[in-house]
Amino acid sequence: MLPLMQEHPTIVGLCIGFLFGILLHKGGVTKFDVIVNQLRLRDFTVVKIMLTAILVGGVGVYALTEGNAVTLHLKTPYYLLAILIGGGIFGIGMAVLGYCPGTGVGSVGGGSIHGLFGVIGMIVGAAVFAEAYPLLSKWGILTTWRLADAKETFPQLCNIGTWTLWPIMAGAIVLLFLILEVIAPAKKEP
Amino acid sequence: MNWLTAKRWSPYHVGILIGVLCWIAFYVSNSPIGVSTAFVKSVAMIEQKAAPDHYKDTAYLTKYGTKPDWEWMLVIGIFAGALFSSALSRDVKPEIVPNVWRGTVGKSGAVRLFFAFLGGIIIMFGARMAGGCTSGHGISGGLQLAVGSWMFMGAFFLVGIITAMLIYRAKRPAAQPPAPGRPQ
Repeated sequence: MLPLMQEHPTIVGLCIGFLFGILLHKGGVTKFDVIVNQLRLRDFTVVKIMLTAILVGGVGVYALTEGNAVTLHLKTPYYLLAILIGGGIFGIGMAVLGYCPGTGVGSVGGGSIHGLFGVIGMIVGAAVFAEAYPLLSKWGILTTWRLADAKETFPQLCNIGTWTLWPIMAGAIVLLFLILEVIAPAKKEP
Repeated sequence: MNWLTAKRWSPYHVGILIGVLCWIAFYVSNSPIGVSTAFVKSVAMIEQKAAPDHYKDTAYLTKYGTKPDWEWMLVIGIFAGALFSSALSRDVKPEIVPNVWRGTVGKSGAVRLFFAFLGGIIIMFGARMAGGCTSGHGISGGLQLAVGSWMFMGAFFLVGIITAMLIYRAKRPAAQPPAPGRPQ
């Protein structure tokens, strides 16, 4: 695969996206009802998928960094004001649209016409942000509350070993899942 | 091959496989999975053709460029993969008004399409302000234990939950998912 990545990164990207699209569909998250019912706290599919992916993905990626096989790719620098405001706006958009960018694109693959309108809206939204960017920069919104370079991950910020933190994370996530399975069991549709 | 044609898999199985896919992305492509950047690139591509002078003046767009790269192709792949999976499980159906919307907001297709479009504008504006979305910040940032990404997740979940609770208030039973434990 590695030489393929050097020669044809676009094909590798396409393949990884293809697998991701399958998983998003099989997970049920390319459906408006599933995402909105997560936000209404009636269906916890989204949280179950995301936290499992974070746990499995994180342990694996950090293990690979130990072997120097990969490096982390953080979104340095992190400006927390923009993250919080942007996150809030994102939350409003997600509630109204009923998809996130990835699942919105996936929903179109399942025939969602309102999803398609959402995707077109997303292109417009990116264009609007590009226009607003100079003004937002001038107002300082995008460059406030910068996280120190060496404190961008929880192990760094809290001065805790990576392999002390992961078991704690795993325990907390599994505990949450056990609680969720009691309140809202995962159901597999036929 | 039942599992390939199944409409749904356990969320835990899906989560595990997404996690593994992230290992692959890091190891093979030296890049985390993300989706929102591709939208900025798409705008750049469109504006470069449709309004080249304005494109050249818009630093936010020229910064990303117009080349269809790994990240951009990944999003094309998502569409193709979801289509493939949906087709295999006979789960392709044209949908204008989803169930939960119909049972809470109303059945007008025009209203739904308008708000889907508006929601798309809002969500991407928020994503670019925050520097990522549920894939880039949520999954990739989350698995890297990035403080900023976890804060993003906290912010969008909190505001998203409040917004959804305000918008989607059941008018009719169709809006309620079946109670847990009861057969469908």
